[in-house]
Amino acid sequence: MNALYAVIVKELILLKRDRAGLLVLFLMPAVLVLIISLVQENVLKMMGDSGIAIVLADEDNDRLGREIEVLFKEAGITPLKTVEGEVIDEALGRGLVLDGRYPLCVVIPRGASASLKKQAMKLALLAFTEKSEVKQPPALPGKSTQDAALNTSQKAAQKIAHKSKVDVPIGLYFDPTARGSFKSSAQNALKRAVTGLEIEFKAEAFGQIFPEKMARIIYKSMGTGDEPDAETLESLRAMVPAIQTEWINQPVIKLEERTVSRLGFTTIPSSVQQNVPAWALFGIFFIVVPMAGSLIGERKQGMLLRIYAAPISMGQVILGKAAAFLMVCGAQFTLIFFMGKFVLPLMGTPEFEIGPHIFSAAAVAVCAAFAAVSYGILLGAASKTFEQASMFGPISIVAAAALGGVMVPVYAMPSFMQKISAFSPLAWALNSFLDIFVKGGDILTVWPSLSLLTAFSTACLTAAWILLSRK
Amino acid sequence: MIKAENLEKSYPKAGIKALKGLCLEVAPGEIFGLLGPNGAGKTTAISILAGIMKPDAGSITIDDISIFNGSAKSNQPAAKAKIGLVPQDIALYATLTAKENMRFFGRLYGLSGNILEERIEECLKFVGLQDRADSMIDSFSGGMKRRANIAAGILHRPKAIFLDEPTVGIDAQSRNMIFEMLESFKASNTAMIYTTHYMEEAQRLCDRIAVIDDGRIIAQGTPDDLVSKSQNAENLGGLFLELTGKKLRD
Repeated sequence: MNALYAVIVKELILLKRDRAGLLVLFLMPAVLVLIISLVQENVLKMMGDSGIAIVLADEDNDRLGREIEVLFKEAGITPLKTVEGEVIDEALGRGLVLDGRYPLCVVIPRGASASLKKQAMKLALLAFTEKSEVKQPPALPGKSTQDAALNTSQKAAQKIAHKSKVDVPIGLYFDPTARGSFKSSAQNALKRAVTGLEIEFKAEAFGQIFPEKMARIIYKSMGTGDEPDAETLESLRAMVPAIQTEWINQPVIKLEERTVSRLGFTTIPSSVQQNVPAWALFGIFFIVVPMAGSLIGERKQGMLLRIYAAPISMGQVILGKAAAFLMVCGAQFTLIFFMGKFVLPLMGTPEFEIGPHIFSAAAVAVCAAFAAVSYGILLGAASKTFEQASMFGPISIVAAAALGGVMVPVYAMPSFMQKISAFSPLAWALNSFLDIFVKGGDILTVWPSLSLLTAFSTACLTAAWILLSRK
Repeated sequence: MIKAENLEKSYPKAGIKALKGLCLEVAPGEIFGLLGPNGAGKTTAISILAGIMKPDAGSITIDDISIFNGSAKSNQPAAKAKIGLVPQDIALYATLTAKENMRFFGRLYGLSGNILEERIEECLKFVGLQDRADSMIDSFSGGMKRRANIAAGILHRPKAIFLDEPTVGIDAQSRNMIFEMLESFKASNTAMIYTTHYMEEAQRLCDRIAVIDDGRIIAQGTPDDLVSKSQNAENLGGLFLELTGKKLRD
């Protein structure tokens, strides 16, 4: 016990005095979590996860612009009509996209709403074109005969239908680097706005035309003549109930977003919720470099020889080292989770929520730290020089992190990579954290991963013990 | 005190047989010099005698406690508690103070509390470093580091000390102080095995010496006896060259 205590105290003092080591152990993971969380937060915004700003050059200043603005906001996109006090027009908006400041500029040309309304009215007229007039007559030999067969109404309807395709175009200027998902999201919002307004305008037009048409039909059915005078027409129109248009935009089917979770945990995860544990794990596994370095230094400088000569077992030395570095990992986790909870929100990200299963999360942290520390000891025992350890250690961690889903979610990997991912200790640890922090799981959910981490640690320590005891 | 019989050790990967039936016995209060050219097997012998490395065959006892019997470990912790090792390198943590180093190695030998603190003070005073107890080893001169290296090896008052070239690269004053320390251990009945390349040191300090070459002891006795038995050598240096040859050993 005295020897174990001696090793722990010695390691902690050595670490306290190793400024470069402390930078690797504390500053690096803290900076990593900070930078990656902020960057990823923005990437997720770009992918439509939360509000990203675009510029809107609304030269129309009418209903179409207002509608587009509302629907963009509903899609999580913030349309800006002014930037730094300047009202956006097409030229300014294009320039801002060109500079890479905004991913999209939407230009609504002057008169777009009026044009849309006019075309809706024309199309609504088609609804009252008699079917026989619109119906294609049987094919007759000779073009001139066919033309002759077309009556005036039919020609008018065809003309209207043709003209309706020539819309007042809404301009979309995308940054060439804008992600596909963002483009789809923006285009969908625009399509919804235009279609919604189109239906509304058509309904309005229909509402205007319908009473007049009905009045004429009533007048005709009365047998008093073909064309009523203005007064009669007005009185007959008053008899036809007005068509309301408020119901047009009311949804018939409601889409409800639900999160896959356990134990009734319904919080929708933020990027911070996933990034903090992921990058904390990545940083913490870098403990292998100072750990291996400490062991190699002891071997090179002869301290290990002196330790071998002492009446203690190699197991005590290994456990002492592991215990000291486990404490360091505990401090690292505390620091990084503190940053996620208190520092990152100051920079505009959501707060990191530890959730109700704090002891389960602590168990994952201990198992992950134990795996990192054990791997560090094995690396130190197996490497002949510090250069070997400082090359192989970080490379193996970056590879394990990439495979483990720290950088790219596992589901986004090719299937054969997903299979390899199942062998990464970082994947076991990260999945456990995500199970607890994102899906509301607890110790019962994560125990298989914790068992794997413990088995990995035991295997590493056993191999290290064999290597260090081989004298 | 230290008894080794028929020690064998080979390094199969390198194809070297480092020890070939090495036998030696060191009495309490005796300084035994182990001399030999580079690669003769001195460091392997010291490592096995100090319980660091396992022999392939042979046996070792320290103060009548068996540490190895064949390649099997015997009562290692009890025997190791009686051994003090002063390695050739400065085997101390450079960023720990002298006192912190002593505290760490002392605890490995089961010392704690007041006893540990008293021993640390006593040892640092013994090697003349009491005023630098709280300085980091990094800030020490070569001689101070060598003295601190010895202090860490004697903290637990061992019965047998193995000193592997403890005077390499130090000034005459520090060397002299180390000689005085060894005389003091001798007076307290501590058995010592001392390796060195400085023949005058061995002649001055050692009660008996063994010249080892190619894993075997090729000559053993008091320095004066060995020199007197030689036809050409006038001193231990000359005898050493006569026994091991002038061919360079790398």
